[in-house]
Amino acid sequence: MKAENVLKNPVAKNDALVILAGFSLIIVFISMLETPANFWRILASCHLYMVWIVYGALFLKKENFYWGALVAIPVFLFFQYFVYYFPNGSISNWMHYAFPPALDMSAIAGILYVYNKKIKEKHNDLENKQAEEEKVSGLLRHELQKQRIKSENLERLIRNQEYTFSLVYKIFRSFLTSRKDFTSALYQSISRITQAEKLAIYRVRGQTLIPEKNENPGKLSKISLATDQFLREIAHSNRVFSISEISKNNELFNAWKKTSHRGLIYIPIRESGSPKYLIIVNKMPFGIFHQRTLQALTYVKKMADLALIITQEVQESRNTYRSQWQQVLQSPYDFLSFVENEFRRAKRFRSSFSLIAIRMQAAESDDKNLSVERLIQSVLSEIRELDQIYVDKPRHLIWIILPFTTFHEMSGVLNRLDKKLNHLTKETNSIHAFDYGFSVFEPDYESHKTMMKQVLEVLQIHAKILEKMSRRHAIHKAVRSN
Amino acid sequence: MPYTKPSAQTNPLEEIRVTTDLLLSKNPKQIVQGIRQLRRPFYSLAISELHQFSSHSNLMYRIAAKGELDTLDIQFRKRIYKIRQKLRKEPEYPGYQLALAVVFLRYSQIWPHIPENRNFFLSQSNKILSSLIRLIQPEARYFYYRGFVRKEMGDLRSAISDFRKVLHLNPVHWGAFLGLLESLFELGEYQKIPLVISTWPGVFRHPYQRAIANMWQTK
Repeated sequence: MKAENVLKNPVAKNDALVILAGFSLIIVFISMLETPANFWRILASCHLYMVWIVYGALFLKKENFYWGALVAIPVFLFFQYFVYYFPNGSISNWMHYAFPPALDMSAIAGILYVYNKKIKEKHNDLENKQAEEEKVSGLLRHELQKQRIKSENLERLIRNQEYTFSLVYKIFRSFLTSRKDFTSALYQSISRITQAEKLAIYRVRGQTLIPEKNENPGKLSKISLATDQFLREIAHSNRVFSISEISKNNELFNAWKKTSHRGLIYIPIRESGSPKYLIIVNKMPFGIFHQRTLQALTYVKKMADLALIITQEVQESRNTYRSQWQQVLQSPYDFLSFVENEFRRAKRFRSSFSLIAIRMQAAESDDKNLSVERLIQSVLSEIRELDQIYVDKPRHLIWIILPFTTFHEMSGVLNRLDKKLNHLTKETNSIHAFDYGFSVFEPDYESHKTMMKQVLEVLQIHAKILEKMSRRHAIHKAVRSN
Repeated sequence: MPYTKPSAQTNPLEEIRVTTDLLLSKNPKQIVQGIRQLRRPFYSLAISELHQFSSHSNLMYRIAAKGELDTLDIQFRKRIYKIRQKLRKEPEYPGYQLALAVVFLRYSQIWPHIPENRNFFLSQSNKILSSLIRLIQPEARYFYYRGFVRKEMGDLRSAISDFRKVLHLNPVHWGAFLGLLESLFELGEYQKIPLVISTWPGVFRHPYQRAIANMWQTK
């Protein structure tokens, strides 16, 4: 058991009181004897003071303790005087025996008093500090709570925006991925947003609306825009119309009443400026017919417009990919710019790319242009779609740019080219031999400029080496002919 | 299985979103899970969705949807039985009569494909509510529920008059106000909606209320 608990325990206090009372009685009894030994008497009275002081310091209140001490010292002195010395002792004797313990007691009480005072001061200081800290921490807590509320609001906002964005992204992706079934993606997204019970998608073809997709295709028929002015205007407009907006405008509302197809929401979708689809929401719950839904529909309309533009561009690029890809570059500027592009790409995607140079030795008598064209054709048949060729006619050089190609892949291409060109030399007598040069650019360049420098150096070195090689070929040829 | 209230209060809109995402996924397991969630919160679109799934070509979906519909049916029957037991003891107590009318109104909503059943329960509910109004006391809640019953029956003009009555008794009754707007919307009285919105005495505090008000209010 800890000391604090002992002090707080009333049973311990009572036990101590009983023991102390017994002890005091024994001492009083000893001192009442007729012939007590002086030494024992003094020791016992000293202990009596000490033990009572300890008891009081432990268990009594401080004020009680001090008052008690103030009362007890004269009482003890008086008691000793009366009991021991008055009948047959002298005052000097009494003073000699009784005063030292009384002085001791008062000294101890004084020390205890000073000690308690200091402790009390310290305790007060600590309490003040604690109160100040609590005050500060309360302010801090308040500030933190404010911040927390702010951050929670922000989080909620972000979550809402994320949800909207994810929904929008899903819809947009569905538009882009389902190129064939664009209208079904449109139908699904709009029916999900509006929870429409009736929804019709019409394709605008000239002056007629042709039903594209709806739940009951048998019930819908073509609508002529020539007779219906309201629908014509809406189909050629570029924003979402709702009945709430239409009903505010009297003219528009009257026109709406006259149309063959009264809807709650009209969503025209345009393809490069001309109307492509008209979506009419005929029946939807009132609870969902509010501003946010309309906003979402506006976004969907914009995305659908964008998706149509993108799909159109993709289609166009597909139709004309021959001019984009695998092209035969003619000017050195083009070639250099393409090489630069490749660098950028390699740096951006941390990929490697390769260059192959081929030098052709044509027979002097034959038509050089013809042989070069044949060479280009055979090279084109061996390389991939995204590779490009630059023909350096005066030098009889062909450069091939191979994007996203490692050394291994490049060597494969080179082997195939070698086989093909050997076959070509055997077929025709116009070309004598080929020299090859190659370099692979790994994506560990520090900066773009050094890369470019490196490439230019590589190109020059290639050209030089190939020239040397061609000279050697010429020498060989001369030696052979001799 | 006795009906137990959900322990934590959840956001019904969030639940609907989760269910919709599940139903739109391509994983059949998730779709089945979505079907199982369609029953709660109880609203007519979810019920019609359940009916569509109950005639789906996929057996798993069909079983799940029919199971959910059967559970709903049993729950409503139990509730009706209990209320009737109580009504047998205290036939004059208006609370039980109102409860029966409300349960009939909700029970009618799980029969979108059988108009006879639907109309039967709606007419029962209408009868009880009318008798309550005539014989007991013309209270706002009786008019409120009768408005919905009549709206469901297609008697939109009567529904509007009921909602108007509720708003006369309690001018800031948002439910009745929304019901009134909804009835006008379904009736095709689009030009009256902004007028009605302008008579609302309270403030549009909730974002949903504001969204609806902004849609129709003239600036």
